[in-house]
Amino acid sequence: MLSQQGRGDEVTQVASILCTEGLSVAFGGHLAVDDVDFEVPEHAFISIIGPNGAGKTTFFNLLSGQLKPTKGRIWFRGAEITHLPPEHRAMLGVGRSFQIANILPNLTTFENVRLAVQAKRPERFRFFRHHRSFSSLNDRVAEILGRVSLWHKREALARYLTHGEKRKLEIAMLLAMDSALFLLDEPTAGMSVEEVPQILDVISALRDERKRTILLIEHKVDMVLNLSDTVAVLHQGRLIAQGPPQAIMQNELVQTAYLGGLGHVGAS
Amino acid sequence: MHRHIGLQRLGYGIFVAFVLSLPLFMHDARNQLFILTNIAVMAIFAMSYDLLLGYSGIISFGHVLFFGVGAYVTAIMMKNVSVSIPALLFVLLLTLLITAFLGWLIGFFTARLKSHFFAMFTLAIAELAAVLMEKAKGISGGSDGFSFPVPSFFRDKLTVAYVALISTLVIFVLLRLFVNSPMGTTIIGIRENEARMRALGYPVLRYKVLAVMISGAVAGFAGMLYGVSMRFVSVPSVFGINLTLDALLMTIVGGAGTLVGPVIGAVLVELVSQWLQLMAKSVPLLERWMLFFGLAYILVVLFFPSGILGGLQRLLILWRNRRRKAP
Ligand SMILES: Nc1ncnc2c1ncn2[C@@H]1O[C@H](COP(=O)(O)OP(=O)(O)O)[C@@H](O)[C@H]1O
Ligand SMILES: [Mg+2]
Repeated sequence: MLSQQGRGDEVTQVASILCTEGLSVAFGGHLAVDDVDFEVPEHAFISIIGPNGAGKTTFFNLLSGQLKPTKGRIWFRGAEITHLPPEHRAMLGVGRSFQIANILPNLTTFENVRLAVQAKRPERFRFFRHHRSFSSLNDRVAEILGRVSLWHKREALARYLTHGEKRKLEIAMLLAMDSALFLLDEPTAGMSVEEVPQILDVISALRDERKRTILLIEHKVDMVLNLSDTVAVLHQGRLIAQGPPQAIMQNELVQTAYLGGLGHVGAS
Repeated sequence: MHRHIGLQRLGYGIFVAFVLSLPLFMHDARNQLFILTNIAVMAIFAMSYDLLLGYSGIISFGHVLFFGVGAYVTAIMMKNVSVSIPALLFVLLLTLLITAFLGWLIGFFTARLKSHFFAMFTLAIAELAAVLMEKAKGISGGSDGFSFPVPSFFRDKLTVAYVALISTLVIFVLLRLFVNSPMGTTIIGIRENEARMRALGYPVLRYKVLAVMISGAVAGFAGMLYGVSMRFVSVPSVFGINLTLDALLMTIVGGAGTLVGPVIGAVLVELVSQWLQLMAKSVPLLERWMLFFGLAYILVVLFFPSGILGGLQRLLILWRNRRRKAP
């Protein structure tokens, strides 16, 4: 295991890549995300935990632009992105995977990933040559599909994949975007027991590279403890605690929040 | 693998040779060349419709607008300006520019609308254009229309049939290259899941506008070809909503999102409608031949939602699976 201390020091030296101020969104009268001030140092690995319905996914939706906040601001790499549409944010380097697999159903697994790779490459402007004739794209797709063990499913239509395979495809598309910031929303949820270790490997390898900033929403405690520099806790839309993993797990406020909630973390 | 591609090429070659030899067997007296030309024009128009419906997932009820513009630009230029091949080339350029611009205008202001609103809006614009053209009788000739001369090269029916057939082939190839290109597949991705493509970084609106522009320009070209082959235009014949519905029917019957489908659909719908009109002379019930299309349409949507091509594909898969299961 890497020394938590050493990594912590490294992280504090670099500027923050993402920053929110008073970020809030309301559905009807219900505040799903409530006045969140959040700062993410570059190349950090931060887990976000909290009971179901705490607002974690909604928080991601605000960061990547699927939702507009009712209040508050967001900065990415020093520039305000609060009002940018999701495609601009993606081009700037905010990449995300979706908790509920969000794929291109009638295209092959290969094509799903290929379109994700193509999105930021100059090849996307080509309008004459066959899309499968660019080895620069194909090689990258092959590499990513190999990494998440979907190569054997490359010609299968995405809608015929199993639930776990769809989740892997979701990760593959995120990898393909090659973003500076990865937002991973419960990447292993719904995967079979055999599939989980491999995705865990992919995520720890990403972390060990230290080339990207990763925000992870996850319920599995051991995973959160092993991977994170920092853990942030959302409860009823509020950021109620943030700190080193061990300390957070022992935090009283967090324990009561979970006992009051669905108790995923407390129970494990 | 290589042998397979070789065979496929040979198949294409034979098919193209067959299509191009068709006019030679046609009986001019029986209007066969005229019907063939019409099929080609409608095939081009339906392919342009498929680019929207099948590839981009955009439903338009106003597609005839582009067709009408193409036909009228040709008619007005030929009648009032000059009858020559260079003039016709200029008409081609003008048609492509105007229809692409119209596509941009409509796309830019409406592609952000939800799909059914877009469909309604395009219908409204096309109907508005038809009404305005009807009012501008001095230019359009209204419902009576007007006839106009074309360069002598295009006065021969065989020549026109060849021009139409070759145009169909060329446009088919060009559109096919486009939909298989990185840009084309992006448009397909948007059809599949717009929100996902945005999250990947694609400016979805721009791609949709591009699809409407290309589709509009191709439809404008079909209208121009129609004008040249008929040497006559009128508001109902080139701005009528029934043309949009024909393109929709052809695309759905043949199979949306295939490009070949609309061509097959154009052949079938044109031939069947010719046949029904002929039969109607002896069987009065068949006078309601439009009704049969309505029925056919409902049956196709119910039982062959992916058209004839889709149906064939399913049968092929069933057959293969059965053969594999058999010892
Ligand atoms: N689009 C929406 N419209 C209305 N309510 C929503 C919407 N999205 C999320 N919510 C509500 O916001 C709260 C937070 O949901 P979510 O962010 O999905 O929680 P988590 O991911 O932490 O489980 C829930 O009460 C949920 O019902
Ligand atoms: Mg969630």
